[in-house]
Amino acid sequence: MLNERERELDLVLGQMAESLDISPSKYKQAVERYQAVGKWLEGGDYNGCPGLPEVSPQGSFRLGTVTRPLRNGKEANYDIDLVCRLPMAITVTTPEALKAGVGNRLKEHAQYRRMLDTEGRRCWTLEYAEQDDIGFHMDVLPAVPDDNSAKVDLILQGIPWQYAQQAVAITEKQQYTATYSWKSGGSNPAGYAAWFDDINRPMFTKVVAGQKRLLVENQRLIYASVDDVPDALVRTPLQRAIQILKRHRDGRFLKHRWEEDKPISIIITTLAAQAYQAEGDVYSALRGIVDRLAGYRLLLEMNRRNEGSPTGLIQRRDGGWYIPNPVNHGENFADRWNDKGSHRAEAFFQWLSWVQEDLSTGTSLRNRTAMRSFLEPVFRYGGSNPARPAPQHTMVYPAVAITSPTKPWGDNGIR
Amino acid sequence: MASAEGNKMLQDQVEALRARFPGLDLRTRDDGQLVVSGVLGFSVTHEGQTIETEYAIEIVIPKDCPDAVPGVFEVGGRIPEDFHKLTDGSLCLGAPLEVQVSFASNPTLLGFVEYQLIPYLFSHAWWERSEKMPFGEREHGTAGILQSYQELFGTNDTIPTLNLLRILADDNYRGHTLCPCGSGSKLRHCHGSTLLRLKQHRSKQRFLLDHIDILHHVFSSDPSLNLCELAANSIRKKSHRRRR
Repeated sequence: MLNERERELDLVLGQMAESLDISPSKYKQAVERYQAVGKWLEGGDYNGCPGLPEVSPQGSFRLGTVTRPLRNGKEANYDIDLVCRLPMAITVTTPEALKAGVGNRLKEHAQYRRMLDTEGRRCWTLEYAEQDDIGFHMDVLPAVPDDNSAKVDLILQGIPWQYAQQAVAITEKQQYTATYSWKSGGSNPAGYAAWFDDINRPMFTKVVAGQKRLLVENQRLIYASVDDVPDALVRTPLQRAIQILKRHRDGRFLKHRWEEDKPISIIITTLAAQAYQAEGDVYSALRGIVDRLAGYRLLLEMNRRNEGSPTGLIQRRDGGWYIPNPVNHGENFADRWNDKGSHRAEAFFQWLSWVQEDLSTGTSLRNRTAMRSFLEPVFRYGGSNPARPAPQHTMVYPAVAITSPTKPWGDNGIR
Repeated sequence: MASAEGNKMLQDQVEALRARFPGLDLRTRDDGQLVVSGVLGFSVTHEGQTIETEYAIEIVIPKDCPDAVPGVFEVGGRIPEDFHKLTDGSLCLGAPLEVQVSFASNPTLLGFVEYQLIPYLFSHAWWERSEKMPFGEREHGTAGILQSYQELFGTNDTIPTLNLLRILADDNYRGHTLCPCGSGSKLRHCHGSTLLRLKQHRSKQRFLLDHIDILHHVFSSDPSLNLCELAANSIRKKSHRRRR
């Protein structure tokens, strides 16, 4: 049971997560945009493809954990990631042909041609500027179903068939040589989403009716009845907690020396879903998730002593960090934690401590107004609000006052 | 820096530096050169924004320390070649005379790092974010040298700057003569103190080289300028003021 202050903080956190979330009207616009792209791609001719391409969202937009991103301290455009899956065998096409097929079809559309960014390593990107200044950044990922041997490998790992069967092969363009290759046996955005849904479903079933009723009351212009409200707008405490965690990360690492090493969203989402134990409110969900994950801090010490820990949500394998993709244990989400000179592991555990501290500070405050004025700066710019005592992490390096700087010059070889 | 006394002084300076920036330490490079190297972390607040960052650097200790300004290299690969660097790849903290003048006011390793190196590194960190230089920058080459003299002399005009520089190049300071800036005051009441201060920092040959470079730069960048006319102009201005 929550005490009074925890209940207040839960309310404030819920409201803040809602304000970070995509609004129902913006969601509707995004769906229209990607359905239009899907419809257009369906009209294309893809050499040797026997059926229609299937365009579906993946990532946070699909998982219901979308958060307005904060880039360089400013509210940025929403990211919408789409998979464009062509129903053809990996053996009858080439990665070049798949990537170019989707790209060329997008270029045939006068408007999409203008919005298209230069070709990415795996995706095509459309940049939508919108009237209300809140645009979209839409990544279209060309894919084909993965071959059966890759799927069998997943089954042998113990991945349930309903996830494994959705695995896709995607293309990868080498930046310097401009050659293309298949990336097979790893990617499975649809399987991942199904895995996440399975964890989320029990709580979803509990909250769906109440939330849809509220959405109809608040959004009469968009939804006439409960049946019109898409499931994708319902948020469980787990989804709310993930939204808060992602934004808290953006705010807390802003201008921090480990900003480049901050935890990536897929790691936050995966670990949060795994550590979640069906808590019924946002505060308890957050508390439970971060307290359980913080237990893995012991691994930092084991890392120093070079000891292994081959089980659990975060693992130490072969002297490195390992966070398995739940629908493909061969993929390590923490791959880059093992880069030379990387501070990603330390940054991750440091961030968990920050969440724990900020939740504790939150519950120590007298009322909702105080909680809100404490948390808002944390989410917006890492809490460097002068009203707030300077957080510890800004004091690691000595502060230097610059009084009479000389202006940098260059000799151009004159002396 | 070979003497025992010099070594003791360097040790003291490194200790003072490490007390504030513990990521740096003294070592001998493979080629025998003494350097202070390591990670320099600092936090600077400018226009309400705080940047906390770190750079991997190597400071080359000059043989005639503390008179000469140390050279610095950024070894982490973070500062691009076309940022403000000298031809040898070392960081160009400013126009040479300005750097010398600034160093002279606190000729220690710590003073150098805190008052010259960190402002430069911070400028770079700020530029990485905003593509703007927080404290301005000099044009590269002679144009930047000219700018630096103009700022030291507090004038935007080229001819008075050249005339003042000429006094340094000829080493013929005469306090009772009229100041060549055209103010109509005697030199000792006008730019005199600035000239005397600058004079301590380098030889008249170096000033002469700057003078020649700037003349060359000014007339090659605008061939329509007529030296005689410009000089006459400044003399006319002077005599005019004098009559008043």
